[in-house]
Amino acid sequence: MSEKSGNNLDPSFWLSLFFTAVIALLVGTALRLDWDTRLFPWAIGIPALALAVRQLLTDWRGAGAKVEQGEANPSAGVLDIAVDRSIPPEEIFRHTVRTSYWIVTFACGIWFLGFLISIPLFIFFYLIAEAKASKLPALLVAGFTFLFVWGMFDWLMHLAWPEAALFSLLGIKF
Amino acid sequence: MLDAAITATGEIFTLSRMAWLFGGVLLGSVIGFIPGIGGRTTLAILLPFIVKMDPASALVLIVGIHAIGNTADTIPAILFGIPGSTSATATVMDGFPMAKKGEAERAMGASFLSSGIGGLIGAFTVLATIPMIRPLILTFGNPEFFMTAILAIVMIGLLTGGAPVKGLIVGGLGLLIGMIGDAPQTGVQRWTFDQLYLSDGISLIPIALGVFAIPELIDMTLGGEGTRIAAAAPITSSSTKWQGVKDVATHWWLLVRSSFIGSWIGILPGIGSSSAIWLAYGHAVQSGKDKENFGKGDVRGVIAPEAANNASDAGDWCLTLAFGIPGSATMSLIMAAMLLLGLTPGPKMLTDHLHLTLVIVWSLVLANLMATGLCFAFTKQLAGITKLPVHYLFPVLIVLIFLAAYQSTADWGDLLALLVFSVIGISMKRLGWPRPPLIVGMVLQRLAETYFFLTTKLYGYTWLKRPIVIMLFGLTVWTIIHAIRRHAKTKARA
Repeated sequence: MSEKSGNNLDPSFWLSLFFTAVIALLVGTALRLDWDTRLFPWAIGIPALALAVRQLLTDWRGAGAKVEQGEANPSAGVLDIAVDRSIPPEEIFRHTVRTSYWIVTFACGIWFLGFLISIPLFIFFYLIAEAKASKLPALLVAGFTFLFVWGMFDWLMHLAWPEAALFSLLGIKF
Repeated sequence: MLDAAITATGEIFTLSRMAWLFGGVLLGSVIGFIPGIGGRTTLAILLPFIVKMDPASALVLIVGIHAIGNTADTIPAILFGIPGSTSATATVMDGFPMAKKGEAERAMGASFLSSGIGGLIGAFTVLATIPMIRPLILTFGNPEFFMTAILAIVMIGLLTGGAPVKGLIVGGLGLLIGMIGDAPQTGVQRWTFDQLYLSDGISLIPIALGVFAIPELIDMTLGGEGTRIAAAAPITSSSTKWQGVKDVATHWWLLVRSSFIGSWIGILPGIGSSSAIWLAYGHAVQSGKDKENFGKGDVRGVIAPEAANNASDAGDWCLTLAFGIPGSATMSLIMAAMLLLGLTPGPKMLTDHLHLTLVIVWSLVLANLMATGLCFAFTKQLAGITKLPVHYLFPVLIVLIFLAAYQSTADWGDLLALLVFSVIGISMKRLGWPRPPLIVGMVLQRLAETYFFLTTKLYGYTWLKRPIVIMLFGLTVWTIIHAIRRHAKTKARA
């Protein structure tokens, strides 16, 4: 994922582009603000933008892979968790997409059904599909997690749950 | 100082505070030693709940959770060669070979005791430096604090990996994201794009969870459904852990030296325990008369990094409390928790809230003792959790992360922020962009902007002539040059 192949751009380029665009947007829109309000954003944003453009050009030229080789040095990995480079990037990418699918599904479940219903459903189906668990342990884990969440957040803390789209649509208070 | 010490002692030695401390130690021990999770994630998950407590109890709980993390993360490092966190990476070098030789309990005994004593030395270092730090702080005005904040961001940005430019960009981006919402001085809305959720700024909690917790959880499940966090490994007879205790007594001078290395590194912003352990390990190798056993199961290779690891935490605390500058990503989370509790880390913690500072020091001492005792007593039982299939842990932890993110402001925007920053965090991790500067930038933004505003309004351009400002500016430039030179050397070697 981090190596440049053929004429393809280094994947790091796209992240550099994203960061450059975000910083440029923030610096550009700060122009509308009064001087006192935009002084600090510009003091930070303009140098950050210059560095981001420099990084973008570096990645455009394909030097990103070399930089990352430097990061693989254990002494250079201070303050962050090292990336396991023993697993092929394609496999990591596939796994990330697959796991992200579950996370996004859970988020959609919260929006559609609410927290309290989607939590046991997510845990149950994840355990069945990904952990290949049998139904009883999956039910037990889902049930205990539901009880913990309900007991702590609903019963003890009275958390204001977000309104689920389904129940809003049906006009039911849940 | 004496009055504050008496008040602090009275506040900590109550049944409820001791229960919170022990609860924190217990919770930190359960989650802290699972590889990839650690105290940082535990703190991030608990942030919304902590803010509803009274400040002293909340601080005691935070210290309890945090203190055991660096003790407990060595269990999988020694037994299975899997560091519980980056702070345990050096321990793998000799701890794992010891386990393979049937000396796992000896290594754990040495590790826990070194961690405990290192933490105590670090805590007493913090206590001893408080009187020296107070007059130093009085010489610091708004310009000096502004430059210190800039130095911290630059140091953290530059020391987080082999890509200094990326570190600075991410640190700058963190500062810019922190500026979303009301400008602190003028009250003008900045970059809210007519969204109500953005008017108060984006909460740190979903960002921290998205950037750190989600990418680590995804990586945890990489091995498929049968994956265990730790492979099965036998623990040798319990008598050998006392051999580890004897080893610590034999190498006490190495323990003391490593603890001071850790304390000193902890005080320096942005360096943190991840480098302190390697410096201590390197020192143990360099100062050892017989070096051939290092890397093959030498107990000194366990004692040195473990002592430095816990001692650096105390140094980290010192920096965060006295100057309001987090020395590590975990400390930036703790600082965020303190801000949410209504406590502003910085000089006021040594004046207005000195008793709370001393509560933290007391808690550090007690938590280290509790952590050492707990790890000693429950080594086998705690290690058993790492043998659970990761796919059973994953959905439960995802649920907790979503709840923690939603809890911060009970707004849909938090869940959206969690998802967006998860994608950013995953991309950053995969593509070698350092993540801690983003959080540190966000945490330091308000402090930096406030001091910047006051500095420019009160001093005009004359602040640039102040001696400490010139010194800090020089240090910032030196840090940048040093990082560029080191990076150039790394690239040349690659």
